[in-house]
Amino acid sequence: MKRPLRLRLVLRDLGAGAAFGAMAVSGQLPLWVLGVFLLSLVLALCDVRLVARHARLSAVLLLFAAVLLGLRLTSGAMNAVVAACAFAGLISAQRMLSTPDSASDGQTHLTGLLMVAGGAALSGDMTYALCLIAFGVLASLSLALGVVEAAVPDGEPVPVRSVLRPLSGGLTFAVAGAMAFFILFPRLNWAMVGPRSAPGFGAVSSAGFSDTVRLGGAGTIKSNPRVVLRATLTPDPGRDELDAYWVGRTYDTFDGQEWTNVVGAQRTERQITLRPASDTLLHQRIELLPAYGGRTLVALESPSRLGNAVALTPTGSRASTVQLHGGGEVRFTVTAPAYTYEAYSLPPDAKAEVPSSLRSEERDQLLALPEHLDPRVARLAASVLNGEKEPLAAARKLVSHLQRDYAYTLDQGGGSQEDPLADFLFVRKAGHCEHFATALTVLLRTQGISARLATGFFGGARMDGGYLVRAGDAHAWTHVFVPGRGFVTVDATPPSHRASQGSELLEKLLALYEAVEGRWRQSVVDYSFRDQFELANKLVRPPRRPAEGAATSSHLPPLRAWVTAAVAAFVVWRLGRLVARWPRRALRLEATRFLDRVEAQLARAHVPRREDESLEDLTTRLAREGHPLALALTPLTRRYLEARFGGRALREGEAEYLLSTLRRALDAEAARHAAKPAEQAGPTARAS
Amino acid sequence: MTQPARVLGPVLTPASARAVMERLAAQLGRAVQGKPTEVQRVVTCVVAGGHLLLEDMPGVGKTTLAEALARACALSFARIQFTADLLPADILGAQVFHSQTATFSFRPGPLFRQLVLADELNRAPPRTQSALLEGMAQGQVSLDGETHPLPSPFTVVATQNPVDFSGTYPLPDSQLDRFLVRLSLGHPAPDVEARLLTTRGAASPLASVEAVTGPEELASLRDFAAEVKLDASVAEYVVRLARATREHGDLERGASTRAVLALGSAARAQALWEGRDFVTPGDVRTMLVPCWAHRVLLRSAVQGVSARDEAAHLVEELSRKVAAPR
Amino acid sequence: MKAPARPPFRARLRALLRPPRTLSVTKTGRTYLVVTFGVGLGALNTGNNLLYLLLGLLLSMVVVSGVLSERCLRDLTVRRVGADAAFAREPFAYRWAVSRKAGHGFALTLAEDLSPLVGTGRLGHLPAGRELVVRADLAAPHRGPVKLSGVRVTTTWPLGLFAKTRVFSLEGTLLVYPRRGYACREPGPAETGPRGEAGSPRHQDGTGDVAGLRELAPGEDARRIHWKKSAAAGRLLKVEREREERRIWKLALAPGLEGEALERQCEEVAAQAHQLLGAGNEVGLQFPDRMLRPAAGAGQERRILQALAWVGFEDVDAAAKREAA
Repeated sequence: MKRPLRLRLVLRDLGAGAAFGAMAVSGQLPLWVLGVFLLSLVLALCDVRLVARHARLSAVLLLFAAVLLGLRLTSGAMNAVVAACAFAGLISAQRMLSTPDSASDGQTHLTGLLMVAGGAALSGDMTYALCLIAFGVLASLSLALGVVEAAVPDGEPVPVRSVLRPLSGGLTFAVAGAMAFFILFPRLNWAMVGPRSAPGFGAVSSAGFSDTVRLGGAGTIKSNPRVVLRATLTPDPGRDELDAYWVGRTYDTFDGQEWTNVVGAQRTERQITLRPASDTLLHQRIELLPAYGGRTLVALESPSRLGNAVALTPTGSRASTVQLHGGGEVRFTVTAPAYTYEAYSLPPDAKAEVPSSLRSEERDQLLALPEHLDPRVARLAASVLNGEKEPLAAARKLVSHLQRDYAYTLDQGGGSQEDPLADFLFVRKAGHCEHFATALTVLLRTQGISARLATGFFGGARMDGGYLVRAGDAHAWTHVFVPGRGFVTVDATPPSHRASQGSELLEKLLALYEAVEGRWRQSVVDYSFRDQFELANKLVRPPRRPAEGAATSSHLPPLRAWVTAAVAAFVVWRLGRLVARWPRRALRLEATRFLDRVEAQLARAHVPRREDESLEDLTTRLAREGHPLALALTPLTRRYLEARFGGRALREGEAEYLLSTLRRALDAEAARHAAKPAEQAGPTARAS
Repeated sequence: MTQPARVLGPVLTPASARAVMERLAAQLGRAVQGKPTEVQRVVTCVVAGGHLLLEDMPGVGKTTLAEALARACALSFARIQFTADLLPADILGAQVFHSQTATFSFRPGPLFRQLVLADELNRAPPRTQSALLEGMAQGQVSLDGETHPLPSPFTVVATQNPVDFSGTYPLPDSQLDRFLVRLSLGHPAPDVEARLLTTRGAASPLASVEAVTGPEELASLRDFAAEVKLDASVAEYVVRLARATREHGDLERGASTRAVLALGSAARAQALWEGRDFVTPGDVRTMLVPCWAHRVLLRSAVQGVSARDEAAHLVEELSRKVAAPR
Repeated sequence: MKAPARPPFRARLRALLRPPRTLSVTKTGRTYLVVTFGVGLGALNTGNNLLYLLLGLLLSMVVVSGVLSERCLRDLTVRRVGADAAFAREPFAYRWAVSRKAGHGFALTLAEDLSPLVGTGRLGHLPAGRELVVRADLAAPHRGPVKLSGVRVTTTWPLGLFAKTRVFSLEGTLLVYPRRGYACREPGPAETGPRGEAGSPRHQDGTGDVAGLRELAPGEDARRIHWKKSAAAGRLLKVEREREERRIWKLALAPGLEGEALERQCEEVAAQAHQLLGAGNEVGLQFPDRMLRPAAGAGQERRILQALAWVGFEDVDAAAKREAA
């Protein structure tokens, strides 16, 4: 058997690797599948075909893997799509390692194709597109080389270079064609939503909201630059840095170590109204990305209404109801990697109809203190406030005290876990946002001012007309209850440390990536009939210039415009061809033009002539037959031949002279013909 | 043999070249009556410096034509009758032993003449054929490591009998290529035949053939013919014709490069007939069939004379299809 | 002479739109189409845009595949080089010559269209401007003239999904000789007596076996000298060799045979002629209606084979025979 071309196998295996990569970028495949495939890929690239020797063993292993995946699937630990994709990856690995023949080649490519299709179901990352194109290119090259290789006789080299050139051109066209198809193929849905990738390989679900906030937890969140939330605001504030509070939920009960809520789940609806609406609400269309990892809806401070949620699952998107929990938290009822929803918030300066006072049990909850609160806390509060009773002024006093005397740190080392608050206030005098916010809340409560802890995000970076919130923007602050105004946001954390604390460079790179990714998402993953409609609209009706008013051209029906354009293109094409032929025509020689005129004269005089007889042949024949015309034709033909082939050009006026003799001879011939019937055909007078 | 009469000075003009050729043709016409076109082609071939292949029935005057040519040009002449047992040495010559001096010397064979008539070439075994053809191609003969140049001008007129093919060795196609022109004379017209009956009994027609030119003049005529101008468009026409034969579906092998060159030189000689010093497409068409009909190979055909006719027909058809330069 | 007129625009347009091609889907291609269909269904059902993207890539690969294979088959020129000798029921070498003016051709498979000849020739890469000869081992099922109507050129380039075929119309006839099987019978006795130009053994200057040595006479060819013996004898000796005597056989094809018996007879005669001619004898062949005169050599064998191949097909295809003769 012929030894297969090494390059083709390498391309094939790399293609399979790219296809696997299309699934792997979703981050949902089990790690062991990832490991097995990568190992097989490396072995295959090193041309170690293990399965060729242990075919049966590998089949048993594959069966075992199938059973394992099946069990995980039935136990509900794994999604069906993920399981199928993982199995396809394993089969591909097995095929890669088997003896390279045409069957295994075809199966490798087929599994590659299936893996790419599976990847489309799993992830919507931009890296998927790269993997898709890489797979298309590599697999096509490999297939084409295989086709040529099969036709090349044994022992002869495969013309790799010659194959690559026309094929790469073809592939470029294929990619362009794929894009054209993508843009033009009519979508059935008005608004399409592609799958959102799973959290991926980076830091996983960092900002999730739990039912409790425990002081002294890990503080690494602050440096995580992953984007968890994308929002489009109407009306658009237009600022580069939004610097707003995105609230997730609030806590009212502190036991000295952690914050909790007393109230459990309440009602479940499509849309939940937290506060009565006024007509100047700030609308937000929010998308929670997989890096978010939680089920809590987030909205700008003082959310009014939340709902219209859609859960984006790997198998498609579906509407989700939302459920109200304690602490004003609203949760999705469906678990999915990503969601979109709409939220309405009260503008920061809006006057809402709020109850002037809280119910008594509610107020008790907002004033409750931990059982074993350090007595120094109340003393500290009293000394700072110095008798200030107005809630907002008291809070401001405490904030300025905290910001002056306490340092911000993300370092958690060596603090007392028994009483983190006292540790912060009196021992370390340094902490992060949760410490600051807890301290402010508890200090206020010791002085009989109702307050609660709020968690969420602070920040919002401008991106493509919307705003991004990163995992590092996670934040905690305090709501102070002001009778008559409701809850007012007071933030004890020093302003410079409120937003994300990640490295500058990393954040810039990520911003760039997010920009491209955002484009990809907007123009590819979420491409819909609406976009197509807009595109067609733009093509057919160009944006009207405001200065022109009602120009006549804008009234043309688009169909007629298209037809006109097509006709114009056709005319230009024909003209181009004519022009391209012009120099050839101009090159024709003077002698040839002379010949044309002679032939035109002969044709007018109806000289009998065979269809393809040249002037030279005609003259020879007439001379042989003794035709009277030969007398005039012979010198003329001779001069033509000399001028055309002998390099002795016609002199000035010679052509006219020769033509005039010919015309005379033709006239004489015609006269002779006319006279002949009258003569009753005697023997023809030979002219020679 | 009579001494060649020096008719013209060394400087030839197209008109004087034409005069020499017409005189030559007139002499040949005495020997072979009623065949002016064929005689013209024979003269063209000789002037172009090529070898001639006559394929025809026995008794139509092939041998007479060759002998008349030798006489009219005052060339040394030999006739070799090719038979099945003819050996190369029989035509090339051999080293012979002289008993008196006990030495060897080269005794040239009949090939060492200016005009050689190879009668019934296809009757000799291939070895002998190729000895002749090699001499034709090289203009010299190599024997026992010695090279003997053939006289100049050197022309071979070979004849083949196409009807009786059994017991013969048809010429390989590669060797057919060596002949510039192939002709078949065909039977004379009835009136000519009748005249032959009445006159030929008296004297051999050969006796009336006079020498009208000589080897030197023939050589200068050849040089002059080689100088005839071939316009680039005509050359391109020849090449297009060759390509047409190569691409023709019924032809297994089209015209070779040698065939292209041959047609060029034949057309040059043909142009002299009109007293021209340049070649026209008409000259090319005139010489196309004599030059190429034996050089193309019909697809899936037994080589023979009917195939030759078929080939001639095809080549002529091609000359009508390929557009000539205007 | 006028340039041949271009065909009218409409005819050219029609030729452009409907080139004589046939398309078939290979096994890989079927799988590919099924997967494409599946992806398309998935895209329509789930509305997943990435599946649309993948579908677009798959479909445009199909289109590109068609375009590239068309470019591969366009501008192609095929001619038959033919076979040296085609014998029935045994593979014989057959050749086509392909060339193209521009572009590249890949993975071409050539076969005779609509003929009983079995077998294909393959060519990996055909660059522009060079004529390449494609060789194939073909097999013909039976003796006689085979009418050839055209050459099929198939390519699976570029991806091996579709096999596109173009038929080059090329009329022709291939004469298939009878198989030279084993001759069961002896060829019979040779003709006797010296005849015609087959030399008589009396001639002593042939090329056969040594007949004797004789002193060199004046005027004799020096190449006949046996130098070794001359040196030993001290005088010049000439070798006399026998003229090769070729015996003559006349084989005959029994009249009135048909079908299988005729085939068998043809094969047997072919085998006998092959053996006898190989031994350097002259062989003639007697047909019911005509006679092939005895002769020797490879040319005679070819003539015999041709004559045998035409037996039984004279009336079937008289025109083709005229052409081939």
